[in-house]
Amino acid sequence: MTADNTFVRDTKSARNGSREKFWMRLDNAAKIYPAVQDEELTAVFRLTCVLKKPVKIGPLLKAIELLENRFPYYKVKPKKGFFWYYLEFHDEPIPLKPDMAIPCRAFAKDDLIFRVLVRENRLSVEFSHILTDGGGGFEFLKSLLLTYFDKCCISVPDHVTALKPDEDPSREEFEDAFSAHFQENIPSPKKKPKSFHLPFALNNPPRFNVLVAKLSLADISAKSKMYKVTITAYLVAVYLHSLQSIYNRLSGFKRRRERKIFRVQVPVNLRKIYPSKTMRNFSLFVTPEIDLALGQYSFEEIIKTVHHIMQLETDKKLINKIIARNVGAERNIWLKNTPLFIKSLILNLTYSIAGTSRYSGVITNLGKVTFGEVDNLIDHFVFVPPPPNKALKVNCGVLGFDNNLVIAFGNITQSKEFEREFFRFLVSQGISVKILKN
Amino acid sequence: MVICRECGVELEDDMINCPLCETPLTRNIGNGNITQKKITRSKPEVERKYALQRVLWQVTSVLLLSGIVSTLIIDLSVHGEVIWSVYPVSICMLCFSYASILSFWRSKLVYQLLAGWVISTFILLAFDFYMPYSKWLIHLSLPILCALNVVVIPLIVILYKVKRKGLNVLALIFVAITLICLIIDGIVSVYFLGAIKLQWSIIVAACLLPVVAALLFMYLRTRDNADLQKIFHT
Repeated sequence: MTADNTFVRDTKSARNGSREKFWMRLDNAAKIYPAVQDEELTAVFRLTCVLKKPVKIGPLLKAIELLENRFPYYKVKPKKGFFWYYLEFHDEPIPLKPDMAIPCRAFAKDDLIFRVLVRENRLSVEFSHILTDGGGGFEFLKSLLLTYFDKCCISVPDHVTALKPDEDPSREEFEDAFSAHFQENIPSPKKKPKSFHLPFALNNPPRFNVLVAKLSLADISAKSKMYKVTITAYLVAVYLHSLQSIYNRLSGFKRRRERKIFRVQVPVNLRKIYPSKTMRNFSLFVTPEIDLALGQYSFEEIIKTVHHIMQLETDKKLINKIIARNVGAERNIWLKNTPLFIKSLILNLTYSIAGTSRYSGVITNLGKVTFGEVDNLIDHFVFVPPPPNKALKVNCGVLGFDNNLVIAFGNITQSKEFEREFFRFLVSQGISVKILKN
Repeated sequence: MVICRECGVELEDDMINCPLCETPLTRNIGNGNITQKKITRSKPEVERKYALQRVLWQVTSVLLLSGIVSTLIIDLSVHGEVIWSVYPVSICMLCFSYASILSFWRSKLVYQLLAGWVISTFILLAFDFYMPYSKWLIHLSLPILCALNVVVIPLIVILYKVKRKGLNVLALIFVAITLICLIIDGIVSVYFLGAIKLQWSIIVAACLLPVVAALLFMYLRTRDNADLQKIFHT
């Protein structure tokens, strides 16, 4: 038994393909998803690498074959226990499929909960959030890409770090890092009031559609530097400003009915704060907000607020508080001893009442990636966040590569008003925006 | 360079199908250009299976027909009328109906068996129409036919749905055999004695059910998720 109570009988045996089964507890962030997910709210995110040339299927098959035993913690299926779901190892081949359907589809009941998708010059991976977050998913894509390039006889520079196919997976990669970094007897953060939600009508199922746009990284970087904030803070400010604009356009009655707090969830990769090599979920949210009850905000005021909230909330001590609250709830004696079918009802209710009702949107920035000398083979990357729920309606994923920043909006409504507002504002700031075919 | 028309990915020169979408590729080399075209998927293994079924049907039909003809000739030559040969003839006719449906009607096995049940019932009713003095047709053969189908069809459905097949399959088959024996014993006793009086089927059940219990126990002990900690972790 490892420190985080993850049951891994023998990681090396999995690596060496001896097919010994193991099982793992769901990590703290993953626990909610089996209870709330369905055909629409799939909890599946996608990472796409758009190459400059069509994907060569032969080298790709060889690359996947080499990686078969490298990521045993992803070759698992969620199963129902009596008290909690758990992940059970299944030594099945990494699923490779043509990328023909809508992105971020749900996984079938008996499938592995990640897949590799290929179409023309696009190589994508889709992961259920039960398995990992964007950070872990991108590490997998990085390993796959570099192995693929290697099989295409393209030399990959040594300084590009990625998990190598011939390495054994370390125990830290299996780790539930939330439990590992949980500290007892820390007070919980204060509850936040409910916030504004976009008032758009939902699409008919299948609801989810994606809009992808490419921006100049140099332009946006210059703009952020001008305001002395990070690119993430700048984009969050644009997000909040767009929400405010939409709120202002509502009719008087609707405006009085809607809540006046605009709060955006911004995932933070905790691997950068804590010394963790986990390949499973390890991110939390900071929640910059503005309150229109205090009056209208100029963009400058929004960006200042966002910057300071983000600086404050990414402090390790405050992150400890959030981890303590989340893991503490999971370890609550009443909750943990409640049978799963009742627990699922509670989690479902909690998710809709206390979860997304307190946020107006989500913006995930995975940062800028680089592959050194092989960058010239790649056009761009796209990060498509999981389909938002009926309250959030729209969410946003950001990924930078080379001199481009690609923004993908996931939307389940009939309206593109929010995306229009967001990009129009960027254009008004002198940042060129090009909408891409997805 | 060969590009899959469905997925748009680049394929190796020696590939016959796209490994992603299974689209077969043909390379027509004319004027120095390589072109691909999508062709209808052939299913040689399925065709082979049906061809084998047809051969089996032919062999079965010849055997059954020869059985029918020989028993009828013997019965007629000895008694001058159809007496005992009605039993082998009706059994051969039922087997022939099932063999024909299974060989020629391409549908799910359950539907094939249901159709076989209906046709067999009609065959037995037809025999009864021409031989009204043979009470066994209605009172014995039809209930046994129904009992067989009522047990076998759900058994096939259950076996099809069972994900992990092992000793549990054998246990289920033994349970089905026990049930069939009990039902047949009951039907026969009602036919001959006018009341349900189970005799030999009790012995069959007493022998088979402990075996079923042992098989299920061994199956459950060797299941992957027998790890109680995994199921009951909090």
